[in-house]
Formats: sequence, C-alpha cells, structure tokens
Amino acid sequence: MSDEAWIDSVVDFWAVETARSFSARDLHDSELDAALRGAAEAIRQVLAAAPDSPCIASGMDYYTPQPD
Amino acid sequence: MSAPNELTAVEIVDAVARRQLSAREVVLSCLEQIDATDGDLEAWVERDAESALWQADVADERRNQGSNGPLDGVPVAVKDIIDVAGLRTQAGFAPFAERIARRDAEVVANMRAGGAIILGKVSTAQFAVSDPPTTTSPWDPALTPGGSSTGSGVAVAARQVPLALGTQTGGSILRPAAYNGVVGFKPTYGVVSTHGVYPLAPSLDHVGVIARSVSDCAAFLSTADSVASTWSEVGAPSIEDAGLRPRVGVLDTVIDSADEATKGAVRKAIHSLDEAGAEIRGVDLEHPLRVFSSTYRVIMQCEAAAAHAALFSTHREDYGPLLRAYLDVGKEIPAWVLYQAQKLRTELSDRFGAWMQRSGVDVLALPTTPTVPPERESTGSSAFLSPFSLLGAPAISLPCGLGDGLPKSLQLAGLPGDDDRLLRVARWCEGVLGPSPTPPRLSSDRA
Repeated sequence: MSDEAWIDSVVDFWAVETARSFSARDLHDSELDAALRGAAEAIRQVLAAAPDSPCIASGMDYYTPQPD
Repeated sequence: MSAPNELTAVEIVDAVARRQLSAREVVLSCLEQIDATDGDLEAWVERDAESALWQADVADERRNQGSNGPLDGVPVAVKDIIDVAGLRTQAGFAPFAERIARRDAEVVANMRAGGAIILGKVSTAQFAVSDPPTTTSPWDPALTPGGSSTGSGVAVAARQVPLALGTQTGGSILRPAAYNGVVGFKPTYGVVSTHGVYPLAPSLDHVGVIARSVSDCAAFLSTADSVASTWSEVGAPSIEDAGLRPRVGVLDTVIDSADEATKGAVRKAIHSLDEAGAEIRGVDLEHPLRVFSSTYRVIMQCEAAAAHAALFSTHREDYGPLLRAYLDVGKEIPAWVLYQAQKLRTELSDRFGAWMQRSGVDVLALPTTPTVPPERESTGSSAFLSPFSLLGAPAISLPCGLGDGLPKSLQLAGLPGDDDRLLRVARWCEGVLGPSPTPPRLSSDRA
C-alpha cells in the first residue's frame, strides 16, 4: 500500500469512527460536520507532508508487501 | 490640531509632553466618542471612566514633575480575554459574567508602567475563536468586522481609542485590523507575555496590538515587550534619513489565490511600493500554504481541547456552536497525529528561517485575507494568517486604500525575532500606501 493510500484509509477510518462516537443530534449539526471535515483534511495534509511518512514512522513499510 | 480622540498614540504622547493637551482632555475626548458611536457599534463590554480619569490625572501630575513614559496619556482598550485588575474578564462566555480579575495581565501591567491609561474592555469572539460578538462594522453593518479581536478593531477604527490590545492564535489581530481599515501587529511568539490572558492554544497564542499607525505599534512593543525595549532601536528616522530600500518578497501564488477585489488591491499596492523604490521579488514558499494552515489546525484544535477540557465538561451548552464543534473534534484527534504535526511544525520553522535567509528579502508580502469581509455570521478566513502564527513569525497588516467602499489591506511578515526590521519596512510602506481611512458610519460630527 502506498503512503498516500495508507493516509487516506487512516483518515477515513478516523473520521467515520469519530462521527459515530457523537450523538445522533450532533451528527446532524452542520458546525460539527464542518469541523470534522476540516480536521480530516488537516490530518490528511499533515500526514502527507510529514518529514517521514506515517508508514515509515510506524514501521508499517516492513509489514507491507512490496512489489518485486 | 485634530480632536484628541483622532490623534495617534505617538501624537498624543508628543502633545501631552509639550503641554498642548492634558491626559484628562484626551480621555474625555475618547469617552465622548465612545458615547457618540458605540450605541451602534457595540465594541465595548465594560468601560471604566472613573478609573481612566484618575489614571489621566496621575499622568498629568507625572508630566508636571518632568517625567514621561513612552505611552503617557494614551487611552487603551483591552480585549476581553486579557485580565485587568478589578474588571471582569468575560471572554464572551455567559458563565464568566461576574468573573473579576484580581490582577493585571503582565502585558497590561507593562503598558500601565509605560504610562498607558486603561479605558476598559472590548468585545471578543467567544474565547477568541470564531463565534462572533454583537459588535458591528463601522464600514458596513451587514458585513463582519472580523475577529476574534472584534472590539479592538472597531474601537480603533471608530476613533474611540488610538490603541487596543488583541490576541492572535490563527488570524485574530490582523484580520479585524484589515476589515476595519487599521493597522494590526502580531510580534514574534513569546515577545509579549500571555500571562493573565485566557489561553486557547498556548503554543500558538500571541498578544499584539491594533492601532492607526506603524509607529504606534512600535510604541506598544517598547512597553509591552517582556524581554527588552525596541523603540529606541526602531527610532523615528524618515525614509530619506534611513536610506532604506526594502527588499520585499511577493508571494505571487498566494496573491493569485485571492478573490479579484483583493488581488487587484494588493497588486496595486505592490506596484506603488515598487515605484517608490522598494526592491520587489517574486518568491514562492517551499511548501503550499495549506500545509502550514493544516498543521496549525491540528495543533490548535488539540491544544484548545486540552485548555478547555475541564470547563467544557461542565458547561458544554454555554459554548458557541463553532467552538463547541472544534472542541468536540479536537478531543478525538489521535495523539500520534498531533505528534506528527509537531514534528512537521519544527521542520517547517527550520526550513522557513533558512529559506528567508537564502531568498535575501526583508519581508514577505501577501494579502491579509483571501476575500473581502463575509457576512456577520463569520469572522472571516485566517488562511493567509495562520501560517505565520504557526511559525511564531512577526506579521503586520497595513491599510492599502479603498475598493467598493471597503478598506483593503496588505500583510507583511518577517523572520521570527526580526520584529524591528519588520516595523521599519512597514513604516516605509505606510509612507507610500497612506494612513488609515476613516469609516463612514461614525455618526457624530466629531468624526
């Protein structure tokens, strides 16, 4: 898995799980929704631009199958 | 001479020192202007006229004894997240309605020691974030006056005071200054103490000033600076005396991402600086601006969630909808993402410093905001401002004329720690671009 795809999957997972943790009322709150989307985009940017990618930082590349 | 309330801080200090004016006359003039205009504008949340007049009499007595401070006789408004002894710090938060400060914030104490007269507290977006107060713009009541230092920007633009203290975590000093057609200055992170200022994100919180001239910003820094005096170094050389030819790095990509009205005004301002003799160079940051603003956003939301954790757990419903959403989400951002953001911030800061040195410019120039002021439900965008808050770099917003009846602004940013150079260049640019314009909504003849 490329760094980019890994970042996308992590951020999507975080955003969905965070949304689920809020109450039903909050899920329909436009400010909360905007804050969640804003934070997801910010996290995506931070991970994509980090000096060492989260895959490498966490050692994930070792476990990720590499093409020959 | 203009009415005392219309003078800049430096002009007031000079007039008081020469005995052309007394500090009492200055305070009375500002109080009259507040009475005449604030019914519509609602910049003030608490005025302390009695104490202000007492402080003015003390300043006049000090002058009679031959002693003058750098802000002697200058009335100052204080953003309502900064403590002033004996006054309430409400922070736009209903449960704080009777929260009276026991002592002055360090910056307030420093300014008092320099001779400033504290006139009272002005409005803020709740806890200096994004939920706007009821304050209206002196330019157009349908549009936002900006925030979070909303009252600070309006009070200075409306000639109610020459100086107002503000704070900036993302864009909260320069943005209201820009929307109100006045000067907003955020010094390097840490130069002005935040002790006694209600925290939002402590590694990003800055204290600064809104004024009507660059020289007033320098006078503020000379008294508020917790480390050393810089006013004597900034001095007051004329453009010719200094032989200054500022080297201005223009962030073309950022300018091109602004709306047409903003882009046109900033291009015109830069052309004027070029014609006046500045050395103009097109430059590009090593990373897109969104990398800076995203890193800022992660750190801000996490730190805000930490700063508000206890209060938010007991008073959730008293928070405004925007801040409540920020805090809800901030609590959920994983620690490892914050760790990455902090590493990235260090990397961006190191690279920015080296890049500025290599590029050979004194300051960077870009718009203060990407668009004209939005409607009142918002306080506006900090997209062009939060990068320099993240870096702790000094930044200043200068008025650069009017377009469609609204003020336009140019932002200059410098290297962290290079506040003196930024102020010198800004003063040179101010000489080219002209003074702060007067808003149309000042109802009295006095304006």
